[in-house]
Amino acid sequence: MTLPMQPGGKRSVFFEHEAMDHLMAMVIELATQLSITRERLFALERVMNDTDPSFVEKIEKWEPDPTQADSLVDMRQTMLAELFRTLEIIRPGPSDEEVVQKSS
Amino acid sequence: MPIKLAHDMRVDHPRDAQARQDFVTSLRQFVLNDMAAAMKADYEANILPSFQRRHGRAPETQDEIHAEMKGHPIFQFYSSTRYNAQEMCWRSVIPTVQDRLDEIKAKAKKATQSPIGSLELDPDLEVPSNIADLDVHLMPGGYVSEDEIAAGAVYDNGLTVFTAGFIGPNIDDIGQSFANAIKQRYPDMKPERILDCGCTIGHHTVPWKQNYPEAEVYGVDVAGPTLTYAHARAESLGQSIHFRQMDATRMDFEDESFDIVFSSQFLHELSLKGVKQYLAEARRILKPGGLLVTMELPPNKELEPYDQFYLDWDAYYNKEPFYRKFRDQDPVVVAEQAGWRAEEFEQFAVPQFTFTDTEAFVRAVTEDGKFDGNTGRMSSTFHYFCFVLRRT
Repeated sequence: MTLPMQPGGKRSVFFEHEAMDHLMAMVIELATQLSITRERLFALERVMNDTDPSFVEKIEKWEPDPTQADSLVDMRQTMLAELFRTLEIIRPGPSDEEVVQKSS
Repeated sequence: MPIKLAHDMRVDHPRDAQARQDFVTSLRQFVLNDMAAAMKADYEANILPSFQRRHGRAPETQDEIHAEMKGHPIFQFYSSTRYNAQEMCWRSVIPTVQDRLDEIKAKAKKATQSPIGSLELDPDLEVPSNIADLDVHLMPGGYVSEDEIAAGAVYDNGLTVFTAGFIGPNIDDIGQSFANAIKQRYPDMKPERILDCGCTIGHHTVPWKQNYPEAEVYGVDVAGPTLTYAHARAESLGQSIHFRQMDATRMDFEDESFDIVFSSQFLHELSLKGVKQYLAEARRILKPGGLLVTMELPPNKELEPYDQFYLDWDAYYNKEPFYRKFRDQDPVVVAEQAGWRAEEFEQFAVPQFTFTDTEAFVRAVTEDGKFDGNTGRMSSTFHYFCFVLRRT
């Protein structure tokens, strides 16, 4: 089975305009991904530095081949899907109280 | 340091997933410490004086404060960040649980091959609507999902991110703190049978067995997947716990069969009717002299209006429909309505056993630690509200 990623029901809104709530989710997701990337780079540089002192120079000169370029496109698409994830869940739904009452 | 579970049901998350979880943990620490402090400072410096100028008085209730705060950017950003962080606790672990579900099931099978504890599920149990139909705590799929164990794994891993280290690396500090508090406060107590109600994955059940190794320890919950996981988790830790799928408001246990009935953060998940049924049921199964030990959020009557407002955030935004109603009650009155006597009741604050030196811990739990605005509030100065009913 596929485990759900998003809780059911309405998403809470905190700002006067709901667009701000989506923007906040995007900003936080961006910050998360930036942090993940920085952590990986941090690890990568330290690992490579131990084995190849010219590693940084090679990175500067590197260019992707067509397969690698396709992989980068896929990575960006995945990132964008996560970045705009809340836009997929704008949907009417019953309140928590209505769900409980209906099921009781 | 990244927080990693220390039991064999743990899954190792890929590097980027671990980095995502670490970021969410840091984000929650930032929200609950820094942003919460900034929000209170803004309230005291600007929002409260503004209210006083317009009304000629300070806000008298948490509802007045909540209504006032909703229009202020500090509350909006605090809430939005906290809400996103709450969602992300689960989102940061679900892909790994999904990818490694077969591995988790294999580990559970291995851990329970020669069990020292037990698991009894009741597929016919009617699960209350607020658990069956709501994604409580914004956990996608809730606690009663289709898969036999995934919800337990998601909860264990997600709770580790959620608690941000505030309840210890094994997410068991509540159990450790309360078992040790009872040992210190009731040194003559030699429990033969202990029950943890609403135990989910048994993370706070295990410490009771560790602290009272001679006792037979049980855990009950309505959700099968979390209990299945709890059984494997306890076995992997080498602890003999007996898990039963039961509704704690109507249990199958015999009258006067337990010495201690414990619950943590459980009562606020029940309707008020359910709370009274549970308290009556606990009294029924407790032996004379037995203890009903409850870790809960402090009642609103014990707190200043601002702290009431702060603690009730979950009631509005975290899919916990009974949270506020429970905290509006006086636990003594509710206990009396469930058949207890007021003189059987006592309440005190419990410091965190994991992070408190032994002498200070013993002093606090034997001298009735006082409540303040930090009681029950997850932060770097966290401590717990406890009430005990001793059956006479």
